[in-house]
Amino acid sequence: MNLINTETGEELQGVIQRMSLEEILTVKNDPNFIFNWPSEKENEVYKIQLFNQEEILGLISLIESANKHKGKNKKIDNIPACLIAFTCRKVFLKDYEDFVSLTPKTNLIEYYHIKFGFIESRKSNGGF
Amino acid sequence: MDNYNEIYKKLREKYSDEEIAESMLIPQQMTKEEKKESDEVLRAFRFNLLREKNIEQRIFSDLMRLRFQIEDYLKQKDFSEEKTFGKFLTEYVRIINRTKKRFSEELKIHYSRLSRVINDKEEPNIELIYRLEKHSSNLVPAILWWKLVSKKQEYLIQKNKTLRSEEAAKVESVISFRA
Repeated sequence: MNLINTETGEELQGVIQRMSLEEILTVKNDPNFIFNWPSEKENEVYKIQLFNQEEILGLISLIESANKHKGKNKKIDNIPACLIAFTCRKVFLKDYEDFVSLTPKTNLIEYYHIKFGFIESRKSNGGF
Repeated sequence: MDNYNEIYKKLREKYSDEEIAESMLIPQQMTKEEKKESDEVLRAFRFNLLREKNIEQRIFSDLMRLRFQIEDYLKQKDFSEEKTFGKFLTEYVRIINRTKKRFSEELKIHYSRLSRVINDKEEPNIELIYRLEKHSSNLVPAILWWKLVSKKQEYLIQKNKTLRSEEAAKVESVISFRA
């Protein structure tokens, strides 16, 4: 799974690292993100960046791409996919029997199925 | 916690549902009771998936885990006696649930040679490594197996003072350099 430059189609090398508590707290003032990431400080939060670059492209515990990588004018594609793939890899290593779950808003469920291949656990309440 | 419904409404002013789903996960806003119920559904779902998993799927999962373990070990700087080629191969044989005898037949190598390799008494050659790659249906690539051998060799080259001295003593002439 690779990051993709949407203008050139070039595959880009990403690096995913766990964020320190200090780093998570600084995302509060980062205009590139919408979620209140400091509220995730009790969880493991990981960031994805381009190799040797400082800019944070996306975050996972919740999942969010930075604003300029959202929507039809996004600069880099596949950010959540890379973060989810990274999570799946961690799950294999922790012997959780390769099970990764999401609980998205109900009206978005089909997109997570199409885009990321999640299997719906139940029709009425968004769980994968 | 964020009000995810509010965030979603705001995002919808700018993006389609598909665009939102492609760039982030908007969690379902749930009460404590709903969350509890949802967790139970997921637990049952997971249990069912596990129960329905066949042997082939279990082997696939375990081999993926083995591959990731090798990759992670190779990223570490230090060599470990507990993570040699032979140790990982032992785990491979356990995962695929073969006897050493049957495994040696499948690879077409002599049983005693396989035993020596598994016990780290003999290093594998490139041919064996290619066979292992093929045997795993390419799930564990040859280069990973080879890097395990290479990592051990690097360690031994650094550490083997006796052999270094013995071999150095055999050199008749040494190139000299002036500072």
